[in-house]
Amino acid sequence: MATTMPCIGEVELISKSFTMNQHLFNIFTGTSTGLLKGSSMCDKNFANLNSMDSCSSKGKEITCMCWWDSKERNLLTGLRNGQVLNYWLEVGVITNIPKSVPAEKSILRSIKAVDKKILISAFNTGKLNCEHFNFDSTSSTSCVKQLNAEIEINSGQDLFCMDHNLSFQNQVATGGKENPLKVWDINSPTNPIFTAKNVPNDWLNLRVPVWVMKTQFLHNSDKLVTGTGFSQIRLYDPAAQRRPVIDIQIKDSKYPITALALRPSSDFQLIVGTTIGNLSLYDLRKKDLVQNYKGFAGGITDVKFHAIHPYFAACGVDRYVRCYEVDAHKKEMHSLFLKSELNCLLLSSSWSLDDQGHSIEKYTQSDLLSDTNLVEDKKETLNEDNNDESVWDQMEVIKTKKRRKQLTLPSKSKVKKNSK
Amino acid sequence: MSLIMPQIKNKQRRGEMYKKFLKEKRKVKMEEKKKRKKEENQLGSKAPPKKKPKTIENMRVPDETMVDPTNEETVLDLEQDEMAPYFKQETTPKILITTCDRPKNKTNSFIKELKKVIPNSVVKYRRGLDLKKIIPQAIAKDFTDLLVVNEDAGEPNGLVLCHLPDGPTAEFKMMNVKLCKELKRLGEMSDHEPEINVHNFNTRLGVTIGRMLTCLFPHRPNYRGRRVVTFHNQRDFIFFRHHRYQFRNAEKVSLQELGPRFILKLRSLQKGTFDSKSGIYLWIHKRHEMDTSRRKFHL
Repeated sequence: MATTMPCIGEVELISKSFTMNQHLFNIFTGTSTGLLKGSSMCDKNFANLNSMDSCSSKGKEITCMCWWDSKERNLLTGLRNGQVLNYWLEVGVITNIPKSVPAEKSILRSIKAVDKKILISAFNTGKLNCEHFNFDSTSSTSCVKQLNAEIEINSGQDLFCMDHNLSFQNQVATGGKENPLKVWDINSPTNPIFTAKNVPNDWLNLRVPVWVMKTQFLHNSDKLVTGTGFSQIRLYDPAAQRRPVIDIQIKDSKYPITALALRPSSDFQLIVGTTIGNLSLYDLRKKDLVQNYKGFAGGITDVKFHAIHPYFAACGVDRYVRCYEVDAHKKEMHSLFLKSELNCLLLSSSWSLDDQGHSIEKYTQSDLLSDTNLVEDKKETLNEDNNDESVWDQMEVIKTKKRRKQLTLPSKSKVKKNSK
Repeated sequence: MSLIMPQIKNKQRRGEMYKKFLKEKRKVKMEEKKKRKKEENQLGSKAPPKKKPKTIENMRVPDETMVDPTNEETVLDLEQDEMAPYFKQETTPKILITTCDRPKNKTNSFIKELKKVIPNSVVKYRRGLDLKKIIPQAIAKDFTDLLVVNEDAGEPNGLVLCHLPDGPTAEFKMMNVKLCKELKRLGEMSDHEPEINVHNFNTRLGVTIGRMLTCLFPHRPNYRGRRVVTFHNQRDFIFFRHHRYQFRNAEKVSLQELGPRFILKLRSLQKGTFDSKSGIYLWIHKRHEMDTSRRKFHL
């Protein structure tokens, strides 16, 4: 197969190992052994999408994953050694993305893709690579790197996390150990747009250590939420101040936050997972815990929300992937033992836990196109909901007095929206 | 009859009835037993097999993490883990044994006995050093494992087993420590390298723990010494025993106990070397969440 495929640039076809029935899978997990697993929660089965031979060494460990574009047909996996592999899910082909791989000893921490054009990868040394690609839609496997279109950002030592802003597409946030949260503009790589300032000294007048473990942009804004290695949840508003606007210390546990996910339907709720397997829903306005979720015996490595439904999935080093309903019972709805330690996870947005959704999953290969249309339809309906709510934004804000300092959060319109 | 009984309001009569009921029940049981014995005597080997008693172990809640050692993926996982160099015979075990600060008498003699049991091990006094400072030094001196015995009120009650150079770290609760002098009819320990018997570790977590315990002992036992060290897992309690065996004939083996005894119970297993604050836990015992069923076991 590899010989017949046209090789363009540095593209190389690695294997055609996994079968066509992949679109039955709705949760994809990357493991520390290097296997990529597709699993179907409703049927309680899973399969490896790559072969065992391809994960011979520790460098092949999958550390991060993302979708190539919003249609969720291509899945990118970042390996520990810096390689990025492209899984073309409909065809079942794995290709190598021709990106530059840095020197040894650096570990790939995170990758983000923007509409099949830009790939941003972050390494633990603090290096951030933005590369532009030309993706040929006619042949599935080929993509060419644009020359002279590589941007390199040095964001400081010990990088732990990186996130890309979906609404302001040139913004990227980074953070790490003794490396404060920074927001970068891809187009001006020398200086960050925003650098967070450390919180004030504690009651003994000692410096509070910095350790940003996870960060995520709020939906449709440039505000950021971070989870730290000292179990604090912080909200930053670059427009307002350099120190966090909201700072929550998780009570009676000092374990690092290793997973964080914002709820898509709300700007204030987020799921937080720690190294000892505590999974809980927090509210930024309440500055407190809303609910704990049970089941994990080991540290949680990744949490992802479903795009439309109020479900989320979490995976951990105890080799389980578990699905929960956000506002429902503490116990998991589904759990699946996947045999290897899990590092990262991706949810397919076509997945639904009710029976109707179950039938969606069982579409055949020919129905796949309509399937993806259906997803888009769903997203459109969601947008309509947003339009309803935008009425509130259009309303005039009644002010009694001129304020000295503009309030940052929660803005008045949003309070109204949520009280509704 | 048992249904009628609670309805009788007179306590004395109710008691009488209950006694009568028990008597009859016993009578039926004995008759059945007699019948079964008779059958067994008559039929000999053709008799129906004896019923198996129900125990907590054989009624164990099914566990999906049970390891199938022939599974390709499990093999791959085990080949890549931190203990793999030992099983590929690339490293020879060298063990550092230490205690908490200012150990009392019993802990001191216990670690000395542990040193005699585990070949190629060194006892060091803790001298108030942090474990996080000890570990890099131990790695530099090519130690493969670190054992720390903790105590409370002069009684050893905890064990930290840290595999070097890059983990994992297991923390155990230690119970019922019996030193050699507290045991009766004890044999003399010899210098031969012992055989190791790790028994009944079946889940994925159990396999890791079993591998970590195996790692403490040399690859090639000296079979002439007939020394055997046993880690037996039963209902998540790990029993440590040390014996010398002798084959009397083809069927019978006689055992003589040699060393100390103790029981371990796993509290947590952590990735990497000892770092209880920021290390990620592979498994941690959560009492209220996990101990919901008496028939659920983790190892």
